[in-house]
Amino acid sequence: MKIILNRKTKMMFYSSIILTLILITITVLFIVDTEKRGGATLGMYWIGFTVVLLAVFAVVYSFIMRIRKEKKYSILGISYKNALDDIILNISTSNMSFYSKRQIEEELLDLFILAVKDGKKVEDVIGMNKEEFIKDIIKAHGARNNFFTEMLSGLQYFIIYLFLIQIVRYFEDFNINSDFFKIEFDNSTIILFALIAFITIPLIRRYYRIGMNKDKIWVVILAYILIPAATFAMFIGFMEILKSVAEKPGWIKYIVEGSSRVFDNVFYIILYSGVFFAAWIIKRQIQRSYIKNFLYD
Amino acid sequence: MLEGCILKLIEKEETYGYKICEDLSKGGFVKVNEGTIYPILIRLEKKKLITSVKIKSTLGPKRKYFVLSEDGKEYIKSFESEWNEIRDIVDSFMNKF
Repeated sequence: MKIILNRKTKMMFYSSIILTLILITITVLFIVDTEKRGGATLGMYWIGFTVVLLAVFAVVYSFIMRIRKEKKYSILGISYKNALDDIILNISTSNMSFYSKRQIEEELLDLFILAVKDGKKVEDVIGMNKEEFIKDIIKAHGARNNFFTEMLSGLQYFIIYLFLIQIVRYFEDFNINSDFFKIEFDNSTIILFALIAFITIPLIRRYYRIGMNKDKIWVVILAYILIPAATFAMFIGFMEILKSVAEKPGWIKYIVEGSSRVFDNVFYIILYSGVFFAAWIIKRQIQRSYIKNFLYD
Repeated sequence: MLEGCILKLIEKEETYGYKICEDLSKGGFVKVNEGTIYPILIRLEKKKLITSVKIKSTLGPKRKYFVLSEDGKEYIKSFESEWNEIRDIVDSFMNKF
């Protein structure tokens, strides 16, 4: 069965392969470098192996899902397939739940299949302005993003990063005396994670939406490369400036030289989990209020 | 206005989005397309004026069929009453002037 991807989907797919290869290369180089300096542990090899395996699995999985999708889409012509792909890519960064996104895909697929059977063109079905159609769907679900919902998502990402890295650090130095709750993070690392969660990811999502809406896939790819690069450059520059301060006041020493226990005991895991779910509940409430305002316009 | 007409079609029988658009077109709404109807149906469902059920389709994924709710029946009564009032006012105005 021939798989025909539209230009956007093709570029996203190839970009994901390239990013996966970059991730695998960085992981392998990091382990090799650490091994040379005599610091590699068994835990590190296992983590590196897991990262590589997950990265390869993610690409293979998305390829398999694409093939399955092609079977579902096989009855549609190129123009309908392109339209459906575009719509799905655009709504993927909205504040919609995963379930709603799947529902929309199924409903539109059914609609398009019927339209194809009747010989209609895609413009006859969704109108000449595809972006307006997508906006209407997102509005009807109350799923548009704003600064506040992006910050709430950022908070959730921040908690996930810290927890994942805590687990990675735990298994890196794993032995029978390891204490999960005694693991410490450099304060500078915590700041870096906060930058990624609250600035990098929201900016990438924003430029992803702009690129998709304006049909400029190069904007999306540059966003995935330049925004993280700029974040790291900004972070490194900031840290170098702080380190260069001769008589460091307390707060600079705290950031540059200090470390903290993020998950000091079980209570903190419960607390951060509570914050994570509170952010999720607030986002759903915001969505409901958008729906209410839209419904009664 | 379109919402009221869509609800009227759903009141007649359990139906789905594509057919609703076809029926609207037969009823005189020739410029309305499926892309206009789809967000309206989402809106009506969120307002709980209609409910939906998914039924297996021979062609592709399960199809969403819509059914009028009790709130929807009340809405149609109030829509018809308002529409009759507006129509009488406009008819009277047109006859006068």
